[in-house]
Amino acid sequence: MNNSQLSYIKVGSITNALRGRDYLRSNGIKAYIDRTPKYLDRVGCGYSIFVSGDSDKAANLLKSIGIAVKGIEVR
Amino acid sequence: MIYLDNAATTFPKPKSVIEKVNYSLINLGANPGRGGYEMSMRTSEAIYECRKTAQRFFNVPGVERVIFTFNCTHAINMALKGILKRGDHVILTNIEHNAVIRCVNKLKEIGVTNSIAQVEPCNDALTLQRIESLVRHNTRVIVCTHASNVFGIRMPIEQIGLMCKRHGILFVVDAAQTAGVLPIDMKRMNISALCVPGHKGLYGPMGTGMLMLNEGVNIQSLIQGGTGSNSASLVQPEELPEALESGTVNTSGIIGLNAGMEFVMNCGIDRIRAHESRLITKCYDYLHRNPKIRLYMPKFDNRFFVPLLSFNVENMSSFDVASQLGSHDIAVRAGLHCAPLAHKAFGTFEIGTVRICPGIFTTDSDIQAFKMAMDKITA
Repeated sequence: MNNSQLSYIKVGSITNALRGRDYLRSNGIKAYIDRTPKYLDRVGCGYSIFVSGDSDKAANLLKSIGIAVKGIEVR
Repeated sequence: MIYLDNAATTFPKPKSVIEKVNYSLINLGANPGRGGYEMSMRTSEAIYECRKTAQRFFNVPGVERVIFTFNCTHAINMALKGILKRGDHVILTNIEHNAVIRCVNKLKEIGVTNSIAQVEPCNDALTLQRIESLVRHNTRVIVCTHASNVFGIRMPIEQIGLMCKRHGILFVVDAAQTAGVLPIDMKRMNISALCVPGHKGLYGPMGTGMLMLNEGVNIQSLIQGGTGSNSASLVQPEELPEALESGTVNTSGIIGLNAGMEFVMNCGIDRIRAHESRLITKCYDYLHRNPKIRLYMPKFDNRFFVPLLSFNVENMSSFDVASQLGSHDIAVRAGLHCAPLAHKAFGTFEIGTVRICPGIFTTDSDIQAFKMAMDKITA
């Protein structure tokens, strides 16, 4: 795993994005919210969490609190 | 003006609420959950903060389970109409507000039946027994007010929650008169859906309310539309809270509501209730001594009542009393208070009552002025 790896984790709604960001940060993962980039947004608008580090670990943490991960794009 | 109509809406609002609403109108004017630009994101964060405050305030199992509504009535309609379907049975009580009564009556049109339990003031055991006797095989929901908006009667919601758990029934609570007045713990009290106004005991602006759903409680949306997510889909998304919040929310109201809840937490619910209880006891003692005044409940007791009371003056209509108090610049409400069954139960359906309810900003001198005005009215 590359610790400097940057990824977009698509989560859909703004509340899930904020909730997920807070949860990832509380687990030591750098996380920010952004509007889902157009190239990821094939089914409509929504929000993503931009994370630095292990995106699979971050995605699993999100799933553990009931947030559906709708896609991961490693930059 | 001396304001004793806090059961309808609290007034004045705390300075912090006014400042936050003002700040939001100037600085957080973008649509939350829609844009990706800075002001929209900051507005979204402010809305999210209110969800987090509500989650802590009522011990809601998840921040996403806090749904913003326009008021408590809106929340009650969303809960009942989102849960009940043809063939279901619902139990309510005879001290409900029309927010519950009319909603339940409307549901009859789609085949939802109902039963009404008679509440016995100061006798929780009998009230519980009467409610439980109405449970049927198809009872899906028990809905009840946490406290009567007319007579202040407190319902034993903790025990009703346990009863619902025993029978596998969902429990919908109308906390219009108690949110911010009595401690409410959704998880501990086994409340399936908690409906609260933002503008009463939580000291937020009018046009705000919340529906909070317990773990595993999922309801159908009444309103479908834009949620700011998954826009290509023609189907309403299922993710909470957006699934139940189509359209733009009342941003400045919600930000004010957050400030209101913080105000209540900083003051302390117990301290607020103690203050209001002391004032309502003074009112009760004064009114009780006047032979021309009729009271309908026993002396105020925190175990069985919230701090509000109803009364009438001999040979005067409740509206005339309210009007005369108004001429002394004292604001109270008269009539049926949108709770006809409660008035039928206590013999005031034809005449209504005068209702007084102090708030955190009511002072001893306000109560003194009320007594002096009543002395003149009943002289």
